[in-house]
Amino acid sequence: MNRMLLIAWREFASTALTKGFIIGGFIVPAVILVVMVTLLPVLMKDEGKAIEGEVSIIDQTGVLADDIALRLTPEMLAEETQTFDMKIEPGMTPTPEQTSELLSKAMMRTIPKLTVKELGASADPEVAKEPLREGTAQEGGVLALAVIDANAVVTDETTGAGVPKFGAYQLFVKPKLKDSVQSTIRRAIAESIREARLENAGLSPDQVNALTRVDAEQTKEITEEGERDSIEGLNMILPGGFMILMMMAVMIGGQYLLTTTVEEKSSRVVEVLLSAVSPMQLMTGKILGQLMVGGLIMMVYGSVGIAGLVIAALTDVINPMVLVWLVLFFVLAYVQIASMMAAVGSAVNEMREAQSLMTPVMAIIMIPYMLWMPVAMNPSGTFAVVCSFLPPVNSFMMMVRIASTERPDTWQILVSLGISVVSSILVLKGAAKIFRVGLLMYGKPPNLKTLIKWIRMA
Amino acid sequence: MCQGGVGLTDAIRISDLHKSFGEKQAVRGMELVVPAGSLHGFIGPNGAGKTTTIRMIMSIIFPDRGELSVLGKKSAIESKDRIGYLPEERGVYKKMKVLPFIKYMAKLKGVTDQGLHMRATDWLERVGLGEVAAKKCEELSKGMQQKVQFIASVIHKPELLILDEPFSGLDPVNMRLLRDLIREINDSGTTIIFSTHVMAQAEQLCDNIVMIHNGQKVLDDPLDRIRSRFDPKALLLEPMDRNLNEAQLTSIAGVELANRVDTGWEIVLEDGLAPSEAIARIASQIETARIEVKRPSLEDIFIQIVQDDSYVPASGMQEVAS
Repeated sequence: MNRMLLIAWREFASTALTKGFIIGGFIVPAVILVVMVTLLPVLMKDEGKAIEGEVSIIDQTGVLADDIALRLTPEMLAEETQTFDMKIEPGMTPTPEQTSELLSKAMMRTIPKLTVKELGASADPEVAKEPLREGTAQEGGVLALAVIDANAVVTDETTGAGVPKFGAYQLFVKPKLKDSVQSTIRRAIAESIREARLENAGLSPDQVNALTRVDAEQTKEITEEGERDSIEGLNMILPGGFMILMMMAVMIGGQYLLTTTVEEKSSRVVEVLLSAVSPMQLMTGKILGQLMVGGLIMMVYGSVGIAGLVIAALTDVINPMVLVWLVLFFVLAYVQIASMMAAVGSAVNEMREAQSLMTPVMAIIMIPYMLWMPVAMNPSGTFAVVCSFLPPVNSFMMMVRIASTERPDTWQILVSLGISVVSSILVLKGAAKIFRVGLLMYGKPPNLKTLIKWIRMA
Repeated sequence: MCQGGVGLTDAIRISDLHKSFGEKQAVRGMELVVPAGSLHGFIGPNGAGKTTTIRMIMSIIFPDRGELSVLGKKSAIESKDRIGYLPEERGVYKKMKVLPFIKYMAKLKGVTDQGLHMRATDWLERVGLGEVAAKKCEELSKGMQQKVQFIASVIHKPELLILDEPFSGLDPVNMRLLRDLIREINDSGTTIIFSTHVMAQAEQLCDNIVMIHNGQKVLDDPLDRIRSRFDPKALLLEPMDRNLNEAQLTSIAGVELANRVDTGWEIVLEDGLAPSEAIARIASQIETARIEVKRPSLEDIFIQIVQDDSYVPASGMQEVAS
C-alpha cells in the first residue's frame, strides 16, 4: 500500500506540479476567461466604419416614402437603438418579434448613414435595380431598392373570411450588404406600413400597442428557502455542466496516464520499477496518482462553477448530495477509462502507436457527449433510465439525471453505482492483465485481437 | 577473485524451470543452485535465455512450470526488498533529478527516510557523480545514467544482487570502477548474479560460471574446475627467429598444427601429450623468446561445448542441440 501511494504521489507530482500543467490547466483558461469577459465586448462593440449609401424606394402607395425616410435618418436610428433597451424592462419576457429586434440592435453597434430617394410610383423596378449591380456595399452608392405594392396600405381585396388582404413589399440589396443594415431597412418599411394601415383603419398605433402588448413579471421558483428567479435553460445547463466537468477530469487524468505509461515503457524504466513492485501495484499507483490530477482539475473548475452560482445567488440549485454523487461517479468512471488508457499505454512503444488502439476508448468517451442532451431533456424516460444502467457510460448518464430537475430514485442511483463498481473491477482486472504482459513487450505494437489474447494468456 | 558461498542457505534454487513465448522455448528444464554469498556469472550468447531466467527469478514474468525459491521464499515478490536488480533494459525518469530519483527507487525498496539522503549522496560521491545530484537525469551521459541505475539497484543493501549486462555502454575506466564495486559488495556477503554475453567479463569477475545456450544450462561449475576440465591443447610460442616456418614446428614430435598469430605461433598439440612435455621438446629444438600454455577462454569452452554433439548438458540434462 505504501509503495502504491509512493508511485501515486510521484505520478501526481510529476504531472500536476509542473509549470506546463499549471500554465496549460489553469493560467491559460483563466486568461482566456478574462479576455472573453473584458476585452471581447470592447472589441465587438467597434464594428468598424459605418455603412453609407442610398435606399431607393418605389412607393406605389404614394404615402409611405417620407415616413420611411424619416425612420432611416441616423438620428432616428440612434434614438431607436438607445431607447430599445428600455422597452425590454427587467423581468419582462420579450416577444419573439422583440427578441429578433433586440438581436438586430445588438448587431448594429454602428449606425448606418442612409439617405432615401423616392423614384416615383411609376418607376421601372428593372431600371432601378441597375445601380445595385455596380460596386460593393462598402463602396456606398445605391445599397437597396424597396418596391412597395400599391395595395400595401389600402386594399379592396379580402380573404374568404372577410379579412382584408394587403399587398407586400420587396427589398433588393447589393451583394454582401450587412444583415444588420438590411434588417434596419426592413423594420423601417414594415413599421411605416403597419402604422399607415392602423391610421387608415381609424386606430391609434399607441392604443393598439398598448392593447396587444402583454407584460409578464419574472417567473419565480418557490423553494423551501423562499422564492428565487427562475432561469430558463438552467435545468438543461446544469446536468450538461456536471457531465462535462466529470468528462473533462476523466479525460485529462486518463490522457496523462497514457502518456506517462508510454514514457516509462519507452525510457525502459519500467523493468526497474517492476523489480520493486508488482505490475498491479504499479498500475494501481499510477491510476491513483492521475485520479488526484483529475480530481484537482474537477475541484478547481467545479469551484469556479460554484463561485458563479454563488455570485448569481443560485447556490440552492445544487443539492450538496449531488456533489457527493459527482465524486463517487467520477472516481468510478475514471477508473474504467484510466484502466483502458493504462492498458493501451503499456501495449505500445510510443505515443504514435497508441492512436489505433485509442479509437475504441475514444468511441466510449464520445458516447456520453451524444447522449446527454436527450437524457437531460427527459431524465425519467425509459431511454435515460436504460442509459444510466449501461456500462461504461452509466456513470456519466446517471450524473446527468441526478443533476436534472427530475432526480432519480435513490435505489436507481445505488444500482447504477453498483454497476459502475462491478464494471470498474472487471475493466481494472482486464487492463491489469494487458499491463502485465504489455509492459515488457517491445517491437510491433499489438492490435485489439492481440490484447484480447493477452487477457486470456495472463 | 570474489569469494565463494558463505555457508548459509542457498540464495536461489531453481528446479525444472520452463518458459515459452509462443512457439519459442526460451528456457528448457533449467536446474540451478546459487549458494548465498557467491558471485555467479550467467554467460551465453544473445537470446540464450539468460534474461528470461533472471526475469523469472525476479517474478517479473512467471514460469510455465518448474519451481524456484529466492532467498528462501517461493517467489521474489515476497522478498523484493532484499533483492537488487539492474535489468538489461534499464532507464531513468528523464525529467527527474538524480538525487530524488535514487531516493525514490530506495523508498520503493522499503528504505525509510532516515539516513537516506546521506546514503544516496555517499553513493553518488563513490561513483564520482557528487556534482550531478541536482541535475536532471536527461542531462547525464549514458555512462553516468548507468552508474545512477547501479546505485538505485544497491542503495537498499540487498542480500541478492542481479546484474544483467551491467557493463554495456561503459568506458574502460567506468567498467573498472563498477567491477571493483561489484567485488566489494560481494565481499560484504551479498550474493551476486552477473549476466553477460561478453564472456571475458565473467572470466575477470566470477569464480562460478553458469553457461546457458538455447534455453538450457550447458555448464555450471567454478571457473577453475571448468578450466581444468577443458584441458589445454595449445601453446603460444614467440621464437627468437622471426623467419621460423611452419614445417620446422610440425616436425617436432607431438605437434599437430602450427598457426601463425600476431606475436608468433599457436601450436596445437596431439591428444595425450602433456603441455609441460611439449614445452620441453620445443624449447630444446627452437630458440625461444617466450612460450606458455594457452589457457582456454570461456569463449573457447563455450564454442567447444556447442559444437560437440556428444556433450551432455550440466546436471544430467538433455544433450545440447547442435
